[in-house]
Amino acid sequence: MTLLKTKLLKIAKSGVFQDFTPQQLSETREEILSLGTDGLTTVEVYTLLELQFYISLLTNHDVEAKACLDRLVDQFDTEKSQRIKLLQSLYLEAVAGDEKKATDILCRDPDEMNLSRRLTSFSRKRANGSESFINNLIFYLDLNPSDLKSWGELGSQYSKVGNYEKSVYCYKEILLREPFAYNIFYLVGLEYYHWFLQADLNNNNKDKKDKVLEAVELLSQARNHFLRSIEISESYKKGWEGVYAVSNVKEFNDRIGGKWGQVKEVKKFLADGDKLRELSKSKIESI
Amino acid sequence: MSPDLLLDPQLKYWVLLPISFVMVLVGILRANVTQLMSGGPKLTPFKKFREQSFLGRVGAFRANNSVLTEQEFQQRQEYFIATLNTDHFYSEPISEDDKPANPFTDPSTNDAMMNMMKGNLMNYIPQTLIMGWINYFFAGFVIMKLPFPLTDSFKQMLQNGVATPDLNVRYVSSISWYFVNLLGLRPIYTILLQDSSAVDALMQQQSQTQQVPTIGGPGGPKVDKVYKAEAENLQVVDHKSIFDGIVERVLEAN
Repeated sequence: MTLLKTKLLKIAKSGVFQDFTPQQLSETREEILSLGTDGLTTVEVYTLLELQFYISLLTNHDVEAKACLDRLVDQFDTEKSQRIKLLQSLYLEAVAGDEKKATDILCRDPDEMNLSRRLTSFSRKRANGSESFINNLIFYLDLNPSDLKSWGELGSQYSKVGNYEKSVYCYKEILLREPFAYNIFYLVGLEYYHWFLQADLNNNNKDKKDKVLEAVELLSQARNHFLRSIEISESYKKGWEGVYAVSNVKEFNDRIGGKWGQVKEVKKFLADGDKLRELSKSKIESI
Repeated sequence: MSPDLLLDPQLKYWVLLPISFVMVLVGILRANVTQLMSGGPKLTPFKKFREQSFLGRVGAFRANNSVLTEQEFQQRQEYFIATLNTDHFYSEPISEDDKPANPFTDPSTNDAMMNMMKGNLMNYIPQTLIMGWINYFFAGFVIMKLPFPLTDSFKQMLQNGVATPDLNVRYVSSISWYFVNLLGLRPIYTILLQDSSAVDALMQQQSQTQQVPTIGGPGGPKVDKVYKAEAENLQVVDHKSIFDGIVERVLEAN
């Protein structure tokens, strides 16, 4: 009972339910329903109610979501609470499909930063989705330069449109705040890897030395970031897979190995790659 | 050993219990009224927030720049120093005259003072009333005898208001019972209110250790000075990347 309560409160606090699979969602929903309200403080009751609202929206239980929302609105002042406005707007967007009303709720007070952020995300749906979304995110980040969620969002948007350099910059902004976020190190590595693939694909003159060195530099950046992610969390399988992938780009390795093999940087890169390939292979197999 | 006093059993029903009962009720009432009177938390104006937020970003860069590569570090360092020296993120234009603003014309200060006054009133009025009530009706009453022995040093605490230097310490006077209730009802409130934060606030009020509200006094550093200082700090930041020699580190560790 207490354990279940603690678990649910943790889920509510961390927002981890956004990444749940449908099965996990429905299990969590069952758990909330089975918990009841006995022995909870007022704050805990309403935190769980909020969680129940999100989960019922995600699992298509519209009526239940409406019931939760009504209970919250009954209890709290809708004019003063950002959190309630956020829920109302979510409900309007998700169930009633009324985008205009949903955005109206968010516009009332410029001091409400959380609502501004949500407002930003509405432009995602417009015709030229990514572009205006990126512009809005940049505008929002100018207002609130230390909002990690938005930096992450901007990073993934840039990655979508293929601007990997900027994407790396955004993810690095998260790392400056959370220097041990190994999953972000993995993402940065992934962006560098994509960047390398993009550069290699667009490279018409594959025999120029500076181009080759640039590609090697990108690939070793990718490798370094993957390595950092597994240095922080040794059993992070994705990180090892990344290491394996960057040390196993056969065609590229053969090409540079043939002609540029004696250049200092390339030589070191290839030698490290050989060792890491073996290591990461055995690690992936054992995990 | 002084002989036992004979206490009228009616004292229990007409003095002891009523005092406790009234104390509990007033405490609960006060918790509720305080909650009604105190407004919700105020949001920081977004311009001020932006100013702080940017400073936070710079601070994070200064603390954790080891996650960057050399090139990224240079790029960011240049950007931050350049931006800190402009007024892009200032919440309000900097006036040239150095006269500090009067803190009492600042609305946020007024709010803080108002809240303090409310808290004080909510504290003193009920306490004065109850104490007056007890002193008026039950002055000098000895209302109970504790079932356990105590040392003489408790005399001052338990026999306030009765002028009998030789009375056994185990007898408790009415006004002392009031004080014991005032400071010792936390478990009862915790059960009745079921909200530990409200109880904490209530007990803190009662123990009369009022927090002094933070009044933005004169001489608080202006934002341009803070930003300039931060820019100077950034000039001398030492950079060492975690990616230096990471391959060797990982190979060695495994």
